[in-house]
Amino acid sequence: MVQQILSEQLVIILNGLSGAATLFLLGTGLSLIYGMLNFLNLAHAAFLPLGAYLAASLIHATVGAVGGTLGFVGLFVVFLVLLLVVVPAVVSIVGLAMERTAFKPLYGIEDDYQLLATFGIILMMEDAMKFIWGGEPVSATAPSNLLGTFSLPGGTYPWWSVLTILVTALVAGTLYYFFEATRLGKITLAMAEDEEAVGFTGIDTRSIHLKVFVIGIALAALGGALYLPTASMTTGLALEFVILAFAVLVIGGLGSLKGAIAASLIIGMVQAYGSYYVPVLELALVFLLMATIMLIKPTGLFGEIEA
Amino acid sequence: MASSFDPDGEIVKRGVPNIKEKIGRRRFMKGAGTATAAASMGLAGCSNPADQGEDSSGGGPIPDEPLRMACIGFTSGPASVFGTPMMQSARMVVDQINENGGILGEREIEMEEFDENVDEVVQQYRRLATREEFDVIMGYISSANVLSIAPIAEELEQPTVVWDTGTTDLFDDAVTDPQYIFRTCASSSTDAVGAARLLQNALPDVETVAGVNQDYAFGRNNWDLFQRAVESLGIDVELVDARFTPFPNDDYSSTISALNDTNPDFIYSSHWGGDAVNFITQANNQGLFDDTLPCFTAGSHVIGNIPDEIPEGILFGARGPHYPFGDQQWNSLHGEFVQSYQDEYGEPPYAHGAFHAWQAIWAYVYAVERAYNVSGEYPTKDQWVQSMEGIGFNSPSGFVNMPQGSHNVVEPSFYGFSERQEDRVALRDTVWITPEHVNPPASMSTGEWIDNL
Repeated sequence: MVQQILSEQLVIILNGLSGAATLFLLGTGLSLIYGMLNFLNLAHAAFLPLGAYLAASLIHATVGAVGGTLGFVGLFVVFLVLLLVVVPAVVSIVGLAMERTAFKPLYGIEDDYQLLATFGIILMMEDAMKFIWGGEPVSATAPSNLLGTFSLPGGTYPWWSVLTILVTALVAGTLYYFFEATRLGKITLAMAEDEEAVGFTGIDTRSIHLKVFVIGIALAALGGALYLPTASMTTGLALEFVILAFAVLVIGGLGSLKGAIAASLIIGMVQAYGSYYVPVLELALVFLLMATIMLIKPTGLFGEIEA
Repeated sequence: MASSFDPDGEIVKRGVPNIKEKIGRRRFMKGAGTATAAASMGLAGCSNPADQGEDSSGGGPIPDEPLRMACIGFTSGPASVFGTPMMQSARMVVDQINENGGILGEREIEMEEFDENVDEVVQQYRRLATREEFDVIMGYISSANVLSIAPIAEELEQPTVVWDTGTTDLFDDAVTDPQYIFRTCASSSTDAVGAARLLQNALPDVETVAGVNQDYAFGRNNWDLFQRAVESLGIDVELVDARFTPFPNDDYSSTISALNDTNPDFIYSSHWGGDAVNFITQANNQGLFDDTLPCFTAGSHVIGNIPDEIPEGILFGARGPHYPFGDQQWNSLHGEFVQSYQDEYGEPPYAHGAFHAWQAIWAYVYAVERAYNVSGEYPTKDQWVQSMEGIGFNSPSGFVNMPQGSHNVVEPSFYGFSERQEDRVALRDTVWITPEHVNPPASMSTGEWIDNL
């Protein structure tokens, strides 16, 4: 009995952590870009499905070309390289091109207009993905199938979800180190406080803008790549993700890494426990939480910038 | 858990429905005649309605302009795994009719396709019915959508053929006295009562049952009917859990964990489309099916989407006897349809919606031809309505019957266990239940009928 309860709780916690991982990878980018660049980029959420769709194409191509010839280790390494490196890199290049053409003209205008313009961009990106990959759901479970599952009392659990949690934890640690211990990270934080003053020191703030932007896009793409092997991707998901990404932003606080980590964990757990114990309220609980935080602390749990 | 049936043979029968083709397939002979459309009423049960009155039929002018037919289904989003094959089938059927000259051999059909994946379903329907003036609107996969448009169809007096949606609320609640709206496929009653009868008559070892259904009209309706049928039939099982998941949804991990902990012998699920794909994939990963028999009442189409994820021994239905392969041989139309679809699109018609599209379009055409044959005039929309009532015809899924007094087709319930066969997943140990055992009579609502079983 005790073992069953422990196992039940372990699975809910793993579900919560794996949901939190996707939210963190998506929400952190949105938060960084808003916090550091003061740019409210709704279109950010579209880079997650873009990463997922690209991952699907790469996985299918790999399985088709060399799937049978590589052993377990070889195929696993290829999948890791594709999903952890190639997908974020390619999507970053797309993001960079879009930054220069579509997003740059929007910097500095009022938030309301940024919101409208980037909402238009997310719709165009959705349709572009539909044009390329079609309207039907796309799935590629080969990496998850390759890793398989482990046994728990009463069921099994996919190793891929555990890998997602571990990779995200590593990314969170690296980001934390980047902001706390590297020169570029400290400059970025300083820019969030007073960009003009940083500019007076001769630092190329535009270049830092681009780097933060690209990091944010790469994280979203990584989120999509890690998410895909356990679920299918379809049009319309970008709009669902954008809502959850904003929940991370609001609950955690604008531009706060600690806030993004905490908010993702809280939302992930609320969703996991909510859908387990009170499934009809799963979505309502997240928004109830968001509304409560806004009433108690409008800047979010760790935010200092006025919302 | 059970991996085969133990049917009693009285209610749940082994094999495929005995739906032999009754007469030849010639569908129309135009000629002069004076019989009235009213005379065609009461002829339900004819295996080819277009043949009725052929000896004294025809003669009147047939409109020169093409018939304008709007077809609505999900061609994007998660439900498109179901909707796209359905629309492909509709396109193929219309092409075949047009290649033979069209309705009555003369009037071509001009089909326009519309994606059901829109926010404003009602506005879309109103626009098609009023501003674009389609002769007939065929459509809807989502039960929620059809419940929204059904009263408007009646208000606008717009001939409308609901070709796939399942909820029994359509004619039990939303439109209780239908005139212009028909449904040419079976309702959720076929799924839910069929599954309950399986428990009672073919799966004696099942003791505990859980439900997992999508949280909208179709899923709620399905679980309600199933639960009531279990209670009304006095089936000796315990209902241990009922879960409703968002529609659409991509993360089922917590729902699956909860079901794993309840550990039911049998799971009733009306999941379909991308949701069924995600649920089955993730449930497999989390070992839910290891010692539980899941029953996807309308989910057999996913065997085409994720064949590698379908374990052996899952129970599948297709809301009627719709089977994607040409080897059941229940009539010649089945083999022809499956082969045509395979030739056209390079894969079998996995989605039962593909069969539903055939039924809807041919029901409309047969009704026009029957009315013309008996009256000698091309029917007005009201004459078409009269001709549709009580129509019955052979289809790729056997004989399709709309009982007199009903605007809803009834079909047998059909289930089988998933089995890998070379490069595909098929169904083995199939069983079926007659339409009378899974559908209410025309005089009763589904709920009333179930409660009095």
